[in-house]
Amino acid sequence: MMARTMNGSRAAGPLSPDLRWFLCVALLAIAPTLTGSSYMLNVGSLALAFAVLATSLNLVFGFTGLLSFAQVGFWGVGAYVAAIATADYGVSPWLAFLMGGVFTGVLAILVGIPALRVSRASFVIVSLSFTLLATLLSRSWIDVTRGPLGIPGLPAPSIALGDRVLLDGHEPLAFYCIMLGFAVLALGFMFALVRSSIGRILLATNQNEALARSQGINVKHYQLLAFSVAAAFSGMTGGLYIFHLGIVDPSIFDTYYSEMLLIIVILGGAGNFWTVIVAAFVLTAVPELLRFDPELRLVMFGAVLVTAALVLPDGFGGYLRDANLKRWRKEVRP
Amino acid sequence: MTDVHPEPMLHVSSLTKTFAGVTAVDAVSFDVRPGSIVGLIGPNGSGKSTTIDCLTGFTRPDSGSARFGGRDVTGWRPEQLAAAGMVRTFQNVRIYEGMSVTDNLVVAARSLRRFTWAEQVLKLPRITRHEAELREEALSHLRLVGIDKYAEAPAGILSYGQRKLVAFAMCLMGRPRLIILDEPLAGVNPTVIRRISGLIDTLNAEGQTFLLIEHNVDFIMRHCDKVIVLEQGRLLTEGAPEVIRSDPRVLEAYLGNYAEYAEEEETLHV
Repeated sequence: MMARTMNGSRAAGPLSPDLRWFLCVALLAIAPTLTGSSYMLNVGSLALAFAVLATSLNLVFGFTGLLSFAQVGFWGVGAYVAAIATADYGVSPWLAFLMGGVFTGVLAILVGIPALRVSRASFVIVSLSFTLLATLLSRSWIDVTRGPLGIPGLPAPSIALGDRVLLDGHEPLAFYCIMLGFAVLALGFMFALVRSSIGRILLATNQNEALARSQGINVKHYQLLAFSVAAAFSGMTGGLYIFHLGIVDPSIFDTYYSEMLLIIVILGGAGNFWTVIVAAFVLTAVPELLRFDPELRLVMFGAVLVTAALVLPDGFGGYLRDANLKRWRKEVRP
Repeated sequence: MTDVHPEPMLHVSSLTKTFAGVTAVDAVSFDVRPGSIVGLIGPNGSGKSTTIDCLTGFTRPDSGSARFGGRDVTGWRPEQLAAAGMVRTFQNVRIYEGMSVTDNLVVAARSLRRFTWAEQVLKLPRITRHEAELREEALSHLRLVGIDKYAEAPAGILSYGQRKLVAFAMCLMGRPRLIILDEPLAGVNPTVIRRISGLIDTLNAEGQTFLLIEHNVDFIMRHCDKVIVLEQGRLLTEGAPEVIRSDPRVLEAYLGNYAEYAEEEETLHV
């Protein structure tokens, strides 16, 4: 029998497809440190944030089949929780970003229960409304969020032993390493989730909900699980990245983030774990690489996106899946 | 199959379901005894599928009740009924097209879900061991239905008949108490019909209980211990295949329109 996997190609050679993809992503992650440029390291930190954010959207949209506009909402809420915890309560940034994640993880369950009651379409609307509402609150709930001016002067996550500073989060390289450590843990957890028997059930509820229910799967429970895990990681990412920006204000909910996120997941290929991560790196880097002509930058980025959408309608991951299906068809019916 | 069991496995009592003024199922009652094969027949629109949807939790009955395995299961959700051992196939065959054929069967197994989510994500040794057992079980069912050579293939490449066989094999995971097949033979070729017929007989000989909806009357008459006939949502009659076959009301229900039509044709020709 031919050893084949569903997400990759023939499992020939000593490396499994997952391991090969991991090495590919590892190279991308090391690249910014080799340049030594602060600018590239900062772009790299943003790419890592997008990689975790996009993977959490991929968990909800690609694997579980729920189109969510709430990821940016959770990223922003996590950022605000972390900022308020440090600025108003003197919590260490290390603990504050985790608090942001716990808060959004629980919040997702509270939002998810009513949102999932009716249908997948109603879920899309509720998730969008959630983000809009969070944006509105960040501007108007001045007592807590300080309104449009935001909360400035946030400390950077650092490690000091007495007077000796071992790790200074203000340094681009140090912050990049912090983001990298966080990304490895977050992506590692979500990888374990999608490759476990739970991941298989998430796919099942997405591909045929009625069949899944007839087999005893409580679809809502699993949808809530995916939504909550994704929200927790989005919140943690926001909570950590905010210490790099040094200030949180309502622009954390900017449509720029939502758009980038959807572009990354759709062009990367919803439902493919690795291609979405690669897309996060490539698509964060491309606008920066196109910076040689600031006037034409966004026009060129748009052209790249349109071309990619025309050539790969289901994203890069979809292209790989179709190629795999084609090979199987040829083998079964030559 | 002798009826010595004191209580039926499934006991349906005056089940009723109305859609916007149309009574799709009208006070239908019947029993399914353990180890038997019961056929549910009737012309198109007679309420067979709605009856099944009410029994499997996909539609809520307006009134009436269902008892399964000694428990009142009226109004239970599909996932609860499946957990209690009642599984079904669908008229428009449903499989997970994006997964491998083996994964289709493994995901259908209910036993893996008894472990906590944390245990499953961490892939503890007992999870890996149990999963290996499920793969073994899946492969044995795939061998039984004769599509084991596609075990690792994506289910989306399979033909319609092969999909029906996968759907059937999914039902066998964890050996449920009752398997409900909604038109298992519709749209498949004679080879697959023979294979499904043989499977039902083999499994029934081992004690598996079935409830079948089917239009293929020959098939129903050959396999069933008892046949239930629905017409316009009502129970027309029920009984042994021989009795049903010679019941003029059943012929009328199935062929009534056709007989009138044939008569008209004749008059026109004369």
